[in-house]
Amino acid sequence: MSNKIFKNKSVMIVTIVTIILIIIIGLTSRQREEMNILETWAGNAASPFQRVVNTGANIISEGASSIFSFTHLKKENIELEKEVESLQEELIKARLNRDELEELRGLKFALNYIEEEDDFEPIVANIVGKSPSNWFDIFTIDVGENKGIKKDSVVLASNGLVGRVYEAGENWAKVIAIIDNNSSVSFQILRDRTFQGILSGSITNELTGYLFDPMAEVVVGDKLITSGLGIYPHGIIIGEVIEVAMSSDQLLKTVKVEPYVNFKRLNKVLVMAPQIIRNE
Amino acid sequence: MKTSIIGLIIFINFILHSTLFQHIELKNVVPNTSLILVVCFAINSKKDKGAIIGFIIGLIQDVIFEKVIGLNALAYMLIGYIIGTTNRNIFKDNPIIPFVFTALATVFYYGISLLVIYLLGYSLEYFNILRFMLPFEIIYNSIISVFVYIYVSKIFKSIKNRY
Repeated sequence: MSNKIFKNKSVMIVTIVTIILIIIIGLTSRQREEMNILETWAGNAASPFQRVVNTGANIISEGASSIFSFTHLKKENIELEKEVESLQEELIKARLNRDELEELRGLKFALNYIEEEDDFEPIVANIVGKSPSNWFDIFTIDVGENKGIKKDSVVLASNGLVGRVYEAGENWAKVIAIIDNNSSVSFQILRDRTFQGILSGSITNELTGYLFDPMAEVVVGDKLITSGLGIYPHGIIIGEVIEVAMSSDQLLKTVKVEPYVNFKRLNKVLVMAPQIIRNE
Repeated sequence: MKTSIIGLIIFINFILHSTLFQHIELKNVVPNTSLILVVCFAINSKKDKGAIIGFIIGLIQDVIFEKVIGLNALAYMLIGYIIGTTNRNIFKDNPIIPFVFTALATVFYYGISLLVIYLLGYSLEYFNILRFMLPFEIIYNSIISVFVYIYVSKIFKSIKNRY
């Protein structure tokens, strides 16, 4: 008899906790302005440990991969030398452009134009942990509100766009990668800025998206940059088109994009404070 | 004594799962060691402990990494509880047991989490997840769970013998 009561009691506790959890899920499913105390506290406590272990793990995996990739190094070296040559040519062109720009800026000042200043101050952050879930691409970084990072700060790597800050704690923050299913980025094609569209993530490391204009001329190998719509500032490189197709109803042109950032081997990122929209 | 050992294992697993184990992914799937631990603890401990352990592991994971809080806690708690209620009727020495239970638990975890995520209106490629990720993760988790189970049951036995 007492056993039966005990059994019912535990069933009841589990049911009550289930209902409470469902309520919590419902409450927290929307984007919140601030983290609650529990989250901040837990993150503050865990992130130093994660940082130590992650640094160790990265050193080990880098060491292991460098041993296996020894044969590739020579090939890579030749490729890099070629790239340096082409970059130097570009640098000369860029210098010429810069001189022109200086002149134009001078003219602008003379004509009393209001200067738009991009006062982004990038902060270097380490990735301390990645979400254990296989469905979402979320990771945590080791800087937070103490360095002025807020919700919707833009996260970059040296070679492209990484994602945005979802929530910031005191010395840590959650970042959603652009390859996450729920993330979307508005892009334009570097070659021609009139061709714009929207990219979203998938369960693999590729991005899929569509162009607003179904007649847009996109070819495999086109480079994509952010278009400045939404929270990402204009002109950050995203990746390269690897596949172009028409959707099944022939109304949309869809593209598959490979991001330049290797999300599996990402250790250090740059974080920039969010764009402030000034109403004047 | 027992609680502190379990707590330590949960903590170490949490740290490793989010850092070191991310390097051993195959086909975009990282083995869910938290789920495996919940299953192994639930088989070995008394019935209510499984639910409590699952709840704690899930809650830690939710708070630090997930967008929605409570999802993993709910799934792991139910898994721990269901396994806990059945564990009197099974032979605990057979290595098939953790294999089968982990496979079932992975399916259950996918079912309940994807259902909640769907009801919350997140866009995920549900079809692709079920087609490509689920079969692979079932096998991956189940194989790892056999090794984890051997180790976990050793810990539980040694504690029992001591007292």
